[in-house]
Amino acid sequence: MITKVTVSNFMSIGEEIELSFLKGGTLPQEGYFQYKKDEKISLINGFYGANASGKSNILRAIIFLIRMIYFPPQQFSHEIPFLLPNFNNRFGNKSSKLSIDFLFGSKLYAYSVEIKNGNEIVKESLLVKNLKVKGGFKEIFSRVNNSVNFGSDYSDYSEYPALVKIQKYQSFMSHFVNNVGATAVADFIDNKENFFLKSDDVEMQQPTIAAVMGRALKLNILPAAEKTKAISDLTRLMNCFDHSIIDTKINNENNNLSIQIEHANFSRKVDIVQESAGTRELFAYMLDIINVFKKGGVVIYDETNRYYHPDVEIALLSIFRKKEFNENNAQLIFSSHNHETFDLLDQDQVHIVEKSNDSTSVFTLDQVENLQKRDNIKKRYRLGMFGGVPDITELEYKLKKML
Amino acid sequence: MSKKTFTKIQKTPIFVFCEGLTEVQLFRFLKDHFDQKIYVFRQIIDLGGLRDLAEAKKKYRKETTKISHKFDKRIAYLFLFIIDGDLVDSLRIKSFLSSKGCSVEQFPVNTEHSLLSLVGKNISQDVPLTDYRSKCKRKFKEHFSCDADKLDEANFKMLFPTIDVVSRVMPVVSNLLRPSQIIIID
Repeated sequence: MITKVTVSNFMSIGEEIELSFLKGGTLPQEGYFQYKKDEKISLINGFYGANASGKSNILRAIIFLIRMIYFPPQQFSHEIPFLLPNFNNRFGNKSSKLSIDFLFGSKLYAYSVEIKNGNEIVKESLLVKNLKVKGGFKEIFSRVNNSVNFGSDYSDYSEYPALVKIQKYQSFMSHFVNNVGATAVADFIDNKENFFLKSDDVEMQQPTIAAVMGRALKLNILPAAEKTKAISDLTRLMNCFDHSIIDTKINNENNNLSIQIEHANFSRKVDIVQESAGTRELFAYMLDIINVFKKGGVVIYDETNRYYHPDVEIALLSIFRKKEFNENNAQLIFSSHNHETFDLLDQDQVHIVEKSNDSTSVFTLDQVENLQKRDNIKKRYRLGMFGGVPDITELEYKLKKML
Repeated sequence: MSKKTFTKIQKTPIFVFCEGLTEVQLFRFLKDHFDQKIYVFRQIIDLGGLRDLAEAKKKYRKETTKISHKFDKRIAYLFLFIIDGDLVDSLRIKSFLSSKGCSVEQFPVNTEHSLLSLVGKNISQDVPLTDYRSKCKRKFKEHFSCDADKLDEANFKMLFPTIDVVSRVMPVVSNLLRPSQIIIID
C-alpha cells in the first residue's frame, strides 16, 4: 500500500505537492486499512479536476516512481524512461524530486530520488521502519551521484555497487530489486506482480488495442487449464457489459494473433476490435485488477470514466471500498471526471487538482474550510466552490469570438 | 501522520443574469480580461429583455427556481443582475431585486448610453423616455457601425483599457471581478 507521495518538478507539477493517503483515528472504517492503532490507510483515492489540471501527471509521477523501483536496469539505457520535468521557465534549473512511502506487512519503506537535468540521478535512498519495533527509519542505502552507501544493518551489500557500475541515468533501486534479489528489499520483490498501472503513455496513445493484444498474448502463454479458466472468467465479465457474449477465442496461429468474440444468435464470431470500447477495456485490464484483489496490491488507473457507463464505473470502484470483496486491502488510486463517484469517498479521499501559476496543486476536501459532512459536495464541486472545474463562461466567450 | 496545514476557502458561486445579449457579451469580455477569480461565475444567463416590473418578477422566479432545483438550496449563491435603467419601472425593478438579496448593476440609462459616454458621446434626452432607448441604439450604431451586441473585442479593449474604467461605469461588476482592497492608514 502506498501511504505518501511527494513530487516536485515533474511534468505540470512545479512546486512540491504532497499526497497523503493516511487518516488518523482509532475506529476502523470502510474503505480504509487500520495499519496502526491510531492511523489508517485509505484504500480508494480519487483525483478530480478540469481538463489539463494535472490529474494524469500526478498518477504518472506515482507510476514513474514504481517504474524506478521495478523496471529492469537495462531499460534505463542512456536515459530515464518516462521522466519529463516541468518545462516552465520557473522550474528550468531545478531538480525533479520524488518520493514514495509503502507499507508492506509491518514494514514502512520510504524511497526517494532526485534527478538533475532530466537524466542525471543525483540522490536516491531507501529507508525502512519496522512498526513492530520501537524507533525511527533506518537507512538501507543512500546514493549521491554514482556513489552508494549502505546503512549499518545492511553493510553486507557494500561490495555490490562497485560490481554493477551504475550509470547516472540508472536507478540503483532497480538494480537492487531486479538483479540482487536482496533480502533487504524482499518485500518489494514479493509484491512485484501486485501493481497494476494504467496510464496512456504505457500504450503509446493506442490504449485499448495494444492492451487488448497484450492481454491475449499473456493468456496464450498460460498453461491450458489456467488459460481456459482465465478466458471463461473474462467472458463472464464481458457478459456484464453485453449479455449476448457467450465465448472468447484467442488464436495465435502462424503468429497471427486474433481475438474473436462469440455472441448468442450471431451467424459468425466478431473480432474484438469491432467490440465496444468498454468491452475492450474490460478484456484488457480486468484480470490484472482481479489479481490485485486476490493478492492485495495497488491499482493506479487513469480516467476510470473513459469507457464505462457511470454506473459501471461506480460499481467497479466501490468494490475497493467493500471489505466483502477487498479482503486483501487492495488500494486504488484513480482519476475521473465523474463527480458521482464522490459518493464512494470520504472527504480526505477526494483529491481536487488545479493548475495555478503554471503549476499543478492538489488538496483534499477535508482541507476545505466550513465543509460539513451533510453538505452536498457533488453540487458544491459542480458549482466550482472548491475550484478544479472548467470555466465554462470563458469557453463560451472564446467560442463566440470564433463563430 | 501527514499535517494538512493548508486550508482551502470555498468560493461563492455567482449566477449572472443579463438583460440581453449586449450585456452578456460585455460581461464575458470583462470577466475574461479582469477577473481575479475571487468568486466563481458559474453561469451567464440571458434574460431576453425586460419590459416592466411584472416581467422582471416572473423571470426572476423562473430562473432562480431552476438554479435552486439544479443545485442545492442551502448554498449561499449570489445573483448578479446587469440591467438597463431606461424603463418606466427601472427603479422598482432594482428595488425588487435588491430586496431579494441580489446584486444589481443598473446602467443610468442603458448599455449603449454608457459605452458611448466612454468615448465622450453624451446622448441628450430630448425625446420621451420610451423613445430614448431607440435613440441610444441608433447613435451607437452610427458611432461603432454595429449594434452593441456585435461589438468586437478590439472595441471592448478600447473602451475598457483598465479596471478603473470598468469601476467608473460598472462599479458592482468591477468590485466582483477585482474586490477593492481595504487600505489601512496608520
